[in-house]
Amino acid sequence: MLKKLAENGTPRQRRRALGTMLQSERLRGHREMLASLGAVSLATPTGQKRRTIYDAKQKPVLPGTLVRGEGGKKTKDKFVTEAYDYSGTVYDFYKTVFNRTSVDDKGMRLDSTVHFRENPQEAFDNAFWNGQQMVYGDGDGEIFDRFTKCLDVIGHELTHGVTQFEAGLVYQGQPGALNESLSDVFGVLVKQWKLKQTAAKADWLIGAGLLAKGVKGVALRSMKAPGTAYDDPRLGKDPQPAHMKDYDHSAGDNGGVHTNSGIPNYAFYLAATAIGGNAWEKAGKIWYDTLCNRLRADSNFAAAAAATIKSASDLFGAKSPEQKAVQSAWKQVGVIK
Amino acid sequence: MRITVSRTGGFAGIRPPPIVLDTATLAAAAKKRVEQLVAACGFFDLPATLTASEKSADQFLHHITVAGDDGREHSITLHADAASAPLRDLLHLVRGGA
Repeated sequence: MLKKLAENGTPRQRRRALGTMLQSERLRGHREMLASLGAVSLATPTGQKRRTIYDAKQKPVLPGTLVRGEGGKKTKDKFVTEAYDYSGTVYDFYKTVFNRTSVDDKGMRLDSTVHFRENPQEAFDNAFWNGQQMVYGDGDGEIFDRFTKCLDVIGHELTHGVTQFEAGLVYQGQPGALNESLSDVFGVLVKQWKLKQTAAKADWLIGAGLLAKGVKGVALRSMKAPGTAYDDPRLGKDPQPAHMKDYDHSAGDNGGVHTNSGIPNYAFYLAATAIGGNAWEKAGKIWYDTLCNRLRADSNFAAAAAATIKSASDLFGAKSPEQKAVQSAWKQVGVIK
Repeated sequence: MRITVSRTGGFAGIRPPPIVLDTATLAAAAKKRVEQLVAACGFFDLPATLTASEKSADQFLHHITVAGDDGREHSITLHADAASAPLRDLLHLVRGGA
């Protein structure tokens, strides 16, 4: 069965089957080795949550000093607790909603480093995925609070890992903006799932609470109304477009990946609210299927529109309300006519 | 020598205004230090892009332009963790105020 899937299934089925086969081979080898040593089974069961939190101690070092492993005792450091708890929630979300086992769907360990700085002399106002792990800065306390504060931010970073193992969207131009948007989409869905909020009830904000007191703004991005999250003398105005006519053609930020993501973000919001109910159940399913099975490394907005419309049609039926909602959403943001 | 440093990208996607440093305004020792770092990292021969991993996301992108007094000018974009020690020192020095 696995062999058959590995040979004839869809690309995703092929990879999964192959992965399972390889894993079984490895475990078999491991068990044989242990048996030959006369040892009891010490193998960590695969497919379980494994989180590791490190402390960079305000230096540009990765991963830093190990401070908490899976099941380890809670420390007094709230940055560590948040990174541990929220990465666990993201893991649970992917497992429960999409039956995905960690970032790579093979139980990859979730490594996070807190208290990181690029420059020991300068507060680090950022969180990022380095291709292998999550990294969080403390924020400067004046404009940005700590980057471990928001579940959706941690969901955003981990989803960069998921995208890396699935569509592999290049981090430039429209594929890069799609990569960013998928991180916002699943980041916001983790939050809605945790809070048990329907699409109609949710705030659709990314990084609510991340801006320090006194900053004029509610969050870093708004999927419901891109371009309205903040307007502050120190930060400027939220530059996100909600429509193709306002596409950011500037060169910085890999071709505006954090600005142009506003367009697919808004399309997802429109589709999810038109479909109604819990956004992770239908719209989320369509976007997840698209991320895993229908996008390529160089897919642009038009390709994503076509792929999500096809996915909605395959999952819910041609001319179903779901398919119509997705089609209408991409029309409203000017990606398709 | 005139050095312009700006930053884009990062999770928040904020683009702070560029920082411009003209070494003519510096005390002799500081000016020498900056010029030494530019020479030590071989700035004018660096590739236009220096990234640590193509798989990374939300990392800050630093853009550095150096205009020499001899008319040479060169611009690069980099992730801080892809920089050599003198290039990183140069970046931090300009960002921190020389």
